[in-house]
Amino acid sequence: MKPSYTREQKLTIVYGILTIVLLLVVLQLYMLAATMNAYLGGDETIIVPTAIASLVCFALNAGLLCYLYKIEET
Amino acid sequence: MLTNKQNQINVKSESPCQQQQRWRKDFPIDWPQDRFIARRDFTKFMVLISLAFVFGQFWILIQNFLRQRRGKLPLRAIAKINEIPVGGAKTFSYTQEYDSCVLVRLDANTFVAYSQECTHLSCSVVPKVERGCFQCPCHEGYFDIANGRPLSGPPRRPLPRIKLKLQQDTIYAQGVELRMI
Amino acid sequence: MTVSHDMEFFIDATRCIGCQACVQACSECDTHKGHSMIHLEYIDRAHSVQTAPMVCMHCDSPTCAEVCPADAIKRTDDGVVMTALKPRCIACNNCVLACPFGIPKMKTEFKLMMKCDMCYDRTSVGKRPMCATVCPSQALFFGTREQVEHLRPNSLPVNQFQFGAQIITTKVNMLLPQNGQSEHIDVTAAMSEQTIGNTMVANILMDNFYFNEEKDHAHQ
Repeated sequence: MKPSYTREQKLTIVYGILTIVLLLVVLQLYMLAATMNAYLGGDETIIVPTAIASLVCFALNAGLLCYLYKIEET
Repeated sequence: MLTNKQNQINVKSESPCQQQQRWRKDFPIDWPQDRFIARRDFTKFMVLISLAFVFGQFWILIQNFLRQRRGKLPLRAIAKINEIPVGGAKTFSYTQEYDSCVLVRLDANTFVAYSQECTHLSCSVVPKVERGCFQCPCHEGYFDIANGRPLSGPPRRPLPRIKLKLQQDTIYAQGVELRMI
Repeated sequence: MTVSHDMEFFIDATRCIGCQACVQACSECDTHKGHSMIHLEYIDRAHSVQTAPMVCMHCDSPTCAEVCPADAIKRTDDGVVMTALKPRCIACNNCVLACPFGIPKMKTEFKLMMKCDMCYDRTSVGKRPMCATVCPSQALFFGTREQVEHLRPNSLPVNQFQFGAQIITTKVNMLLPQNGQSEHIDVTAAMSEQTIGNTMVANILMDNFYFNEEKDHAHQ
């Protein structure tokens, strides 16, 4: 018996996931702005770490979204 | 006696909701489900923006790689020494056609050159030699004319400095120095 | 704020006396601009004055909502199907054509479908719908199943109907006789037949002749 969430529970879950995704997106925005500023100022050491960090943030976001779609399929 | 059994038909094991096509389930009739789907779609939009930011980061990475590959920058003649009076200025392009730069003669023996793009939002800065600064008219940003560092206003980074070389009465631009502070 | 689970709507068409009180009460509400969302159907107007009140049946799988191209018809979580949302309705008439009970009313002049929503502004706070409140014979009854069983022991509440191959389960119950049998009426069976109208006999030629003769007599 696969546990199915009630509609209220699903709404709570989506609110929680949306909060996390928004925080990660804001973090990515800050990283992009800081990286661009650094690059234009000549600092090249920051570029690769922030690119990897941004990719990790996106992977987390995509995973959370996949989970949201998964709880709908019964 | 009316009974339901008289009108029984075989129903599949899935509920009617599950039998629906994907696009029907994405536009639910019930309000609670509609709220859930609306928020899920907003999350999807946010994840797409996240992907766009990743593309931005990798674009910077590619630009950096291409810049490193370009190697040594060319030498370009700007002007002869006697062309520019004390306190005068001349605009030129270095390294690309659209990279506008400005050469300023502070006194008889001092020449400085910087990129003309303000480090705030790339408006052209205007040299004000008598006041010892560059002024960006867009948002009232000021840069020190001697070292290109921001004095006041929105800019936070100094102007990129153009490295100069004097060769037989002609001033040449030979490199760009990007600075963070 | 939801409709209480044990309160249900019951219609007993045999009790309807055609007084139109429900129609008047419904049209007093401003949420549908003074237009009544309930109407009375005359069963056989030529031979009888019997009427049946028609309200939205609030189906479990509402056909009107399923066919709406603009997603304008929504259902609350207590099962009440709402009237069309004004920002979305395009007055395409799909719901009017689709509803097996013929409930949605299209107001083309302001491009909106309107239908009974079981007075959700009243039922969600514990009151009864307007029509059920004013019905003098209580053909429209809003109460618990226990009340109906106690008050009307000879009636059986039914909420499943079959239209062709579509079996519809509704929130609104119709009260039928306890010992009745389900009637299957094939509405398309008579489609290809000739209509049988009532022949009207009016001796107009004879009446005319009579009239002229009288006039002649008068002249003479």
